[in-house]
Amino acid sequence: MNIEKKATEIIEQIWHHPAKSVTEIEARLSKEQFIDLCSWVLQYYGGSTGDKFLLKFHRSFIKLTVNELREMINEMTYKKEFGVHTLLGFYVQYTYVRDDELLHSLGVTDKSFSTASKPEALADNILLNRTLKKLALSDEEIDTIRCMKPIFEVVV
Amino acid sequence: MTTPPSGISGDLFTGFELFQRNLTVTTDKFGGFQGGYPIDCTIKDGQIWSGSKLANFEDDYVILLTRELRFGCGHYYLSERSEKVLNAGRVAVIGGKIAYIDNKSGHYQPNKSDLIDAKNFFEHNQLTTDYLIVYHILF
Repeated sequence: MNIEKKATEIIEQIWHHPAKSVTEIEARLSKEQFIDLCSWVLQYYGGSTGDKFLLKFHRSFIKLTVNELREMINEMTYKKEFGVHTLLGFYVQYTYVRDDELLHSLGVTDKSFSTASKPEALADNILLNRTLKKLALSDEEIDTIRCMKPIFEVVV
Repeated sequence: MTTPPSGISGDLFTGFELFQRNLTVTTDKFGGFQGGYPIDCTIKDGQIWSGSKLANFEDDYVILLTRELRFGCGHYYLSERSEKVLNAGRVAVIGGKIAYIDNKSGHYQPNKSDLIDAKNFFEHNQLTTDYLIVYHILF
C-alpha cells in the first residue's frame, strides 16, 4: 500500500466529508498498515487534522498497545517531535488518559500529564464538542474515546 | 494539491499594537509539509461572513506579519510556511462572532500571554460574542 497516497485520500475525505463513515476503509486495513498510516498522518499533517484522523479511526487506535504506539513513533523519521506533540495533544484534548507511565513508555521525558487540563474540563469545551459533532461521532463513541486506556503488555 | 490560502485584509482591523511579540515556528524540522484548506471569510458590520451567511465554523487561524487574518485548517499551510506570524490558535465562530479561542498550534506554540493578546485584539475589533471562552491549553 502506498501510505502517502492512502493517507492523502483519507484526509481529503475527513476534511471535505467529515461525517462520512470510515468503517469500510478501516475494515480493509491491517494493524501494520494502520500503524504506518497513523505515523504518516501525525508527523506530516499533525494538529487538528491529526486529531480528526484519530477520532475517526478510534476503533483501530484504541486497540494499539503501548509497544505498537512506540513502533508508530519510531517510524516517524521526518518530524517525530511534531508527530508526538500531536499524539499527546490528542490524549489531553479528547481522552481522560493522564498516566505518566504512558509518557515514559513512549520515551517522552520532557512532559507530564500533571500539567495538562483536567479531564472533566473536556465536556464543556465548545470547540472540541463541535469537532466531535461535525465528525458525526455518537455519544457512545465519544464515551469510548474519552475512557480509552493505554494497553501495557504484561512481562511474565 | 490544495488551494492557496487567502484571508481578511489587516486594513479592516485596528489594535495590532496589542500583540506583544511575533511567534516563530518552533523548529526547522516542522518545515516542508503541511496540507490544509482555507475558509474564505469577510468582515462586515463587526461580523464574520462566509459568502452571504454569517460564519459558523471551528478551525485554526493565523494573523500574518502583513496583518492579514486567515481562517482554515493547518497553521503552517495558512501562513504559507512563514517563519514568523503575529498570532495563531484556534477559534469557534458562531453566528458571525468568535465564541471561543485557544492557543493550540503545534507549529507556532503560542503561550498564555499570546492567547490574552489575541483575546484583547478580537474584543477590540468587536468580533467576539458576549460570552467569549478563552481556553489556555497547558500541555
